[in-house]
Amino acid sequence: MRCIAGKQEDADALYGPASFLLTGPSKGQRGGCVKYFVLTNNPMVCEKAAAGADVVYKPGSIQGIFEEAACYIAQGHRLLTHPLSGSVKPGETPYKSMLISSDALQNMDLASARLISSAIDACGKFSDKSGSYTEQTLRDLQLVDVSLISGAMDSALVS
Amino acid sequence: MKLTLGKIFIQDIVFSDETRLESGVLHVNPAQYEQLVLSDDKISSVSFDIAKPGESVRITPVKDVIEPRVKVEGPGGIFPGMVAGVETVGSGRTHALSGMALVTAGPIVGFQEGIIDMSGPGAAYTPFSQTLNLVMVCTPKDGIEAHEYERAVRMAGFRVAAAIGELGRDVEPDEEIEYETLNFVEDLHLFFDLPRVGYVQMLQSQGLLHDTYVYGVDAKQILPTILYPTESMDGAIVSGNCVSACDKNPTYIHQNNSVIADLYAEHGKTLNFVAHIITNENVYLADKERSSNQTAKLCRMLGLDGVIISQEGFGNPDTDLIMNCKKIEAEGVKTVIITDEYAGRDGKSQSLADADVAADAVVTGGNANQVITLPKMDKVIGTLDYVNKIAGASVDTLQEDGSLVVELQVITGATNETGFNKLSAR
Repeated sequence: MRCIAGKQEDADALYGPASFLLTGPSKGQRGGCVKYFVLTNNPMVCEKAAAGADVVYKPGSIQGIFEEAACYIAQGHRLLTHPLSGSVKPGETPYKSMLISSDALQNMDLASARLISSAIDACGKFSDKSGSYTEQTLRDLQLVDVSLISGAMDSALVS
Repeated sequence: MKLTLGKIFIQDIVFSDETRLESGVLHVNPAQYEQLVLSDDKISSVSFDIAKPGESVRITPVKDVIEPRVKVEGPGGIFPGMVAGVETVGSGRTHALSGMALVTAGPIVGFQEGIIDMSGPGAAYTPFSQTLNLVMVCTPKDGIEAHEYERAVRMAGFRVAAAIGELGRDVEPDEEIEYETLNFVEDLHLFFDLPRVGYVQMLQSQGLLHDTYVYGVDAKQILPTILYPTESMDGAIVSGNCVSACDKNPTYIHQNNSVIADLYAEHGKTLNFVAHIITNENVYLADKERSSNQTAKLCRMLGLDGVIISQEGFGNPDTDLIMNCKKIEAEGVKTVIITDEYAGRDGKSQSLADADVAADAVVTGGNANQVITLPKMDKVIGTLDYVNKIAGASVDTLQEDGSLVVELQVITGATNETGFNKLSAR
């Protein structure tokens, strides 16, 4: 995987506004039948995700990353992974990665919109503990998130 | 397929110089099992302790709970694909050390393990306050990754449980129950006038530290398939996950699945319990579509009239649950779903992350966000170092007087979604 700091306008041109692109503009260079990019606030995704993936890295809260995904969905991109993946709940993990289709449909995908809306609602149900974690716990949480998204990327290769 | 399950009622567990099972009392020499644990070089040390119902004892962080069993007659061994070969299990004769459990504990990832209180208000929420617990606390070698530690503790638990179960091989059981499932042709003729009912069990399978194993196979790699319901009684399905304590299925719950037990109780009387269908809960949405399509197809192929669907977890699995429900209903098969709820601390929020009109028959295992206070216990087995971090706790959890203010999420089995718990609603 290439994880280089790109320009904001590259990200905007590829995937829409309000994102910071960490990979080069290699749209759809991997993903088997499904062209996608990874939307994440997890720095470890840049270090450990499989080679060749496009990553849009947006530091910030988990609710922020859900809202970012909602922006893409509003533009016609589809969610390819469940936003509430993993048993670690919003507020209990500060990290979330999602696969989003590179291609945008003309109309908004309603299933994606429903899933992300439900995920944003879920953020209010859990107390935010992320400020209390040790470096080791944060690293564990990053690793779990990387594992979940890596499994999804493997699935995308064969779907 | 026919299985005779012989239950040996364990009356007490004591430490002893010699390991033996005598008159319902399990005598344990911990040194005998240490080498079984330490044979894995990922574990640096292990300590054993005993926790009994009613004692002022808190066990945390709990990873898995396992019932020791032994295969006395018939093919295969307990925990096939893990610590036994891969022969198909579920027939013949199995002995269970009933009323006790092996509890494995250790800070695997520091945020996902649970609490078992043996007395006080917390004890009322976990089924494992009622078992005599032999607790095995494992300390990892420095520098190993959380998932390596999880695997090491998981496998050590199975090795020790199998070794303890072996003590029951030649013991006359206190109770025997026969479970039998005929092949599809035979049961169609015998129970032609009874509704055909199946059990769809969704297995936690989202990825690292979120895995379940079937005959040793990672469940996220399976297509939905059919088991005889007795196979899980011999440990064909085991837990390998570190998800929220309240609604994960420890291995003990797979061995003693309440849905299977209740369906067998009515088998041949009010219904024909045809099959145990297992499916997964993957992260990738296309995987969810594939698995729910296959599950609905199996229900149709089996000519089922109704199914009970249980999920494991919250959020991502809610989508699989609703997909399964919708697609199975669309095949003309009635469904009842079992879930728990994350309805917020006030109970007023949307309970599930997904919903559909087809899901019109729901059994709840309780609200995992419900807040309770757990008073200080005289003894802690494990450590409280992580108690502020586990799912359902917060930075304010540990009070000055030693009590814990937590959500039910932290309690192992509190809102279990196979009904192996004490909460519900009418």
